Amino acid sequence: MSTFLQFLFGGLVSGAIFALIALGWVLIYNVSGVLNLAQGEFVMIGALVFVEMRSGHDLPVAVSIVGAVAITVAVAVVLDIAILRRLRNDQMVPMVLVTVGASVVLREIAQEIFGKDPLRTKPLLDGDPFSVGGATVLPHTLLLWASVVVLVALLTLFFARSLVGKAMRACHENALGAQVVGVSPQRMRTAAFALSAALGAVAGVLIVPVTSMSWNGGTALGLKGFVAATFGGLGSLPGAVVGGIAIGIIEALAAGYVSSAYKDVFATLVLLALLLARPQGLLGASQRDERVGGGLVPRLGALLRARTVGGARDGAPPQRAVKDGTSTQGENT
Amino acid sequence: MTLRLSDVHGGYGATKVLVGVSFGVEPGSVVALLGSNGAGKTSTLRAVAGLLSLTAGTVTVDGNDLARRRPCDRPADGIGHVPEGRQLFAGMTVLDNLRLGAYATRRDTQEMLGEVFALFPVLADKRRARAGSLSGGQAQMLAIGRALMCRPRYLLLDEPSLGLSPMNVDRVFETVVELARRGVGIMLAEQNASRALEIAQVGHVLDQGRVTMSGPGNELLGRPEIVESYLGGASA
Repeated sequence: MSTFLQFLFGGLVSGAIFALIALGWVLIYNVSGVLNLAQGEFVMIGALVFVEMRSGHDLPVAVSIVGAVAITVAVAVVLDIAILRRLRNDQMVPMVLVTVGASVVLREIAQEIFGKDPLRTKPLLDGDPFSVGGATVLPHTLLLWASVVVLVALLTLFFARSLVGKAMRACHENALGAQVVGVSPQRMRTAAFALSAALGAVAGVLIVPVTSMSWNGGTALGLKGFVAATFGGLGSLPGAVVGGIAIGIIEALAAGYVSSAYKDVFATLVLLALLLARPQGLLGASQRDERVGGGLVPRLGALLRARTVGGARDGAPPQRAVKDGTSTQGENT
Repeated sequence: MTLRLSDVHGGYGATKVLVGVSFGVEPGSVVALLGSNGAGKTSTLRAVAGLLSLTAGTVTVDGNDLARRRPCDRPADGIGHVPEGRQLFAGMTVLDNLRLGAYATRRDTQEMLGEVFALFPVLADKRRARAGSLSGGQAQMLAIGRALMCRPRYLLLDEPSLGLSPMNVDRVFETVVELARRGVGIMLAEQNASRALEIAQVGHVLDQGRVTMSGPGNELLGRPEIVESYLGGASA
């Protein structure tokens, strides 16, 4: 049991990080349709700038975090305004290719500045590890989980309450309608890049004390975030969180019980199986989504959706949530 | 003080859809655009909204040329648009749709909400409902209400009666008359030619991207060629 818990906690650490990165993918994708393949580089820049400021220049942690986020956001905004705005808005392939190019350039620049060796820093919280059900948990791990929960809550509030958040949703709901009411698609895309860079940078700050980071360490994380976003249903923000956590746990269990050499294989296999059964992903929207099908995975999707949408609010037990699955589903489109 | 199109040419890529369209809309008046499908009614509205690129000619609002204004700038320039297909945010509430209508101006939102709810009380009752759950008539009211939230001086209406029950068509046309009475200049593209001409001060008939006939609404209503071409099957 304690072994299982240890694997589970490990999975929840990487899963929380994948969730932040997946949210970054979905944000930009929803607002502009662009798949930003430099997403992982945002994580890398955030992590390396943070280590450099904190350990290299002995700056306070808070200052280093703000600096890491600010510099990563600045890079993302420059990428969008200086390059993507010069491209035609309706052509996605050139934009996606530009993000591939940007990721290569950012890696090379990072290698020049920070060197080839992986960088690492102390945990953000000192203190002794403690035991939960026989498994060891570090104080930093609790901080990491708490940070991700707070960020997801803030993001949810932002989209539910603020006018800019609603305008970003409007771009996703109906791009033409958004323009008609005066929402600039370009400005919203810049905002999405900034927000998603901030999420990536925080992911980097949180993960670098756990795993270290090097100039080329962001790419794999970025792709993992994309897998997580696809798993959750590309376009769904709750799906990105669920997908991230699911991929993290699957990997950790596969690494623990089978072999760490196969953890990526298991994550990818589960993604493939899910997409075959449910092409729109776990919580993704589609025509078929209106009703709950008979298969296990759609039911699971309905259950998870009911729990993430309704259950989180009123603490409904899953049994009731399943019955309400169809009506709850409608709310989340 | 006029919304004016002067010799507007425009199209999508190589396809020309407007060939020298010129006319004006005065504040407080209703100008009806008539014509068969593909005649250029929607394209004319899109040219004013900035959604159709012009190859020649100008669109001016109260003397200001809109050539360099992006589509998303135009609500702030005083142009409200109820586009073809309404383009509501179906997954969002009625209230959020309306609030986003004031996105460009971001002032007097509460006051304008009050005005829109006074004009369409059903929207006040349904304020928490998802826009996608509204009936056709309610959705049309929401589309008009959303366009009014930025206090437009000119309102572009694309087929507001399309797919509505006769009772809702009446409601929409009454609203259009009321808005004109309050000083809004209305550009009304309509298949329902007889209803449009009844309330329009001026009508323009479009054919293949050109204005082929113009005149006061009641006069056009009496012309045999109009009756023959547009009133026969359009009164449904």
